[in-house]
Amino acid sequence: MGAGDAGRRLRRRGPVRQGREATEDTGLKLFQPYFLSALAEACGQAGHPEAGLTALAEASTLVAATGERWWEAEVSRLQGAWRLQLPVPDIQQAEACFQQALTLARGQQPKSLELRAALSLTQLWQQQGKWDEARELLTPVYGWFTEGFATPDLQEAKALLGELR
Amino acid sequence: MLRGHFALGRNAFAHGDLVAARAHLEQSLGFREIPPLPIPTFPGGFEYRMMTLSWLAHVLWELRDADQAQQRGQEALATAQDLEHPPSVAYAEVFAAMRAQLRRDAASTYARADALMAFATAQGLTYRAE
Repeated sequence: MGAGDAGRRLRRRGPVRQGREATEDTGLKLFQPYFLSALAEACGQAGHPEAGLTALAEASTLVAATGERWWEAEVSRLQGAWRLQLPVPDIQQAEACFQQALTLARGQQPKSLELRAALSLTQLWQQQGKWDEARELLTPVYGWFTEGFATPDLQEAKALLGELR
Repeated sequence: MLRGHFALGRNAFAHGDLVAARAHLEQSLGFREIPPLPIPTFPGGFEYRMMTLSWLAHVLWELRDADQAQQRGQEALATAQDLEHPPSVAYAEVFAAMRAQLRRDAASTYARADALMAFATAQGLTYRAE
């Protein structure tokens, strides 16, 4: 990501935060973990992973308090992703977050979120030289899909599997 | 039955039971109000078939059926537009913008969100305009 992209994403944190504050004023709790994740993504991609992790901690607290679990796996995955972006990356904790995201996704069956968790863990294992484990993880998850191959997640998975052959 | 399955589907979705959510929402689509319900006249009211299609599209994306999700989402928008009911159009557009974000289509997400806020402002739908 170039400096221009980072600046653009930083500027766009404003609308995400404003939107969330507007829904908070109504007392609305539904979808808050999703909105907080959007805020965390904007923070993390703008080079502020600590702020992203703070938003994700709030999302986790809301998931536990309200039982709204449809986005729970993605909250865990993002917690891992931003731990890898810290000035001193916490690789062990990041891997634990990715594993938790996988477990959650497998329990609730959101295959789209399982794919994202598998992608994050596969990329980490690839960097660590664990190519066989990475390939064995991602191959069956990719194989689940029968449509949506134009989406970035599936294109990324296909490219990654090509690298791991 | 239509409303019951919609409520159960939405509840199952929130709790992360996506398979049950899909089943309830698809069952809801199999029912029609007899006689047909009047279109809601107050800003907080929405048309049920449009809502069911919007939520089903969201569930389908999570369950890996991204193309079916787009199709159901388009049906939701078309249903709302046929009714010429601005709150329902705005409701379907909110889900369309979220679906674009789920698909990691940033340009479409921003375009839809900007269009929705402009539409909501023009229609006096204060909550959606924020």
